[in-house]
Amino acid sequence: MGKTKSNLRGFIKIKIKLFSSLLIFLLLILNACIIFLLLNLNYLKAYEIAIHEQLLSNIEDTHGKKLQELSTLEVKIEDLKGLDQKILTIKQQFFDNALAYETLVLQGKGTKKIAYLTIDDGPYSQYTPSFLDILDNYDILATFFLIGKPNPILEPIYKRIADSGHTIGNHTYSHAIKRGLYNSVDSFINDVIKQEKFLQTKTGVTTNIVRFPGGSMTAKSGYRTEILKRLRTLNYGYIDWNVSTGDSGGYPTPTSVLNNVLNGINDKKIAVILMHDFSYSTLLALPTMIEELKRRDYIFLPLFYESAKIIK
Amino acid sequence: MKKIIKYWLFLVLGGSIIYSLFNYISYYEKQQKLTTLTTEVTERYEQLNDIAETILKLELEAKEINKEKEKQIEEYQKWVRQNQILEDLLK
Repeated sequence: MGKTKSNLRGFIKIKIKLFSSLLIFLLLILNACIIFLLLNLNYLKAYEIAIHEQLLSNIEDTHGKKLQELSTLEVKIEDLKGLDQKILTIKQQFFDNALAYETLVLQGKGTKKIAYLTIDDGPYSQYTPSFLDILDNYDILATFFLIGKPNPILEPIYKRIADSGHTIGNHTYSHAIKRGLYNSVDSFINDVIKQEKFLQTKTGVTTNIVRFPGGSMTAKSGYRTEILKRLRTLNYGYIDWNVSTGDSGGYPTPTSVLNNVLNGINDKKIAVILMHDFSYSTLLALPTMIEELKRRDYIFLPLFYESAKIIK
Repeated sequence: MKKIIKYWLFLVLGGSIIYSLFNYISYYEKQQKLTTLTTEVTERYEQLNDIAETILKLELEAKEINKEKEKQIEEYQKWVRQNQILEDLLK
């Protein structure tokens, strides 16, 4: 009985030992599988992290670029919104520089001479747009001494002259040299004031330069001094010309217009050239005139109140 | 001899359990990092979308202003050109 018990115990002991060995072995295999799984998962996660990091870095890059784009756009919009002020500033700069350069030229120091193209008596629906086209093509600013023409067809031309940046001068409303303009000081001054109001309505521009129809000498000497005094109190300056195209009377041809200018200019340091936009001959001569004057070292400027050529 | 093998088996089992525990910790940390990264990517992507939307709006606004101020832009450029001629002459 005792032996049997002892055998049984021995048998159970062996079984337990076998079972525990088997269990350890199985656990080892299971753990190996778990390790294999975890290693794979870790590898997968590391790969996913790398992808996400790359994605994040790409997004950061794009983010930076977009922010840059955004700030550029904001600056652009601010610039566009402040364009009115910028135009005023650059115009002021331009006229300051024009004055500085004119002073240099008068001192004989400038490398180029100055030509002020002045176009009187317009606008005319027939030729003024073509005059403006030529000036645009050559990127030149001129001075238009306009008179009062309440014709609706001419409204866009008044506007175009102003929008193109040309200087607008007051040439009286009526230009009625032979119909009473110079009969009295008041008739002249009232005509100038009437034209000022008219131009403000049509162009939004306030003028400060007057050209007497026919030139300042057309005013009777008795009235002339008084007119000039009154113009000064109204803060106007005036200007005549020192070169004429000769296109206002007779039978001018493009050749005569060109010759008048080229002979008249005679190497003047500052040329104030008179022309009229009702003249087809002047229109035809204008491109050659501009090119020839450029060749002769002239630059083209629009008139401005501070110019030494404006008599105040 | 058998006992030594058994001890070795135990030791290997213990070692492998510790190793798998380390692997699990590493996996857990990676998972956490991935979750953080995914959230960050989503947030950044949303921000990016917002910016893209703002840019689109601003581009439209700029286009409208451009159209509105086309003449003024030309006018400004003309004055810049004219001024440059004088600046060059005054140098």
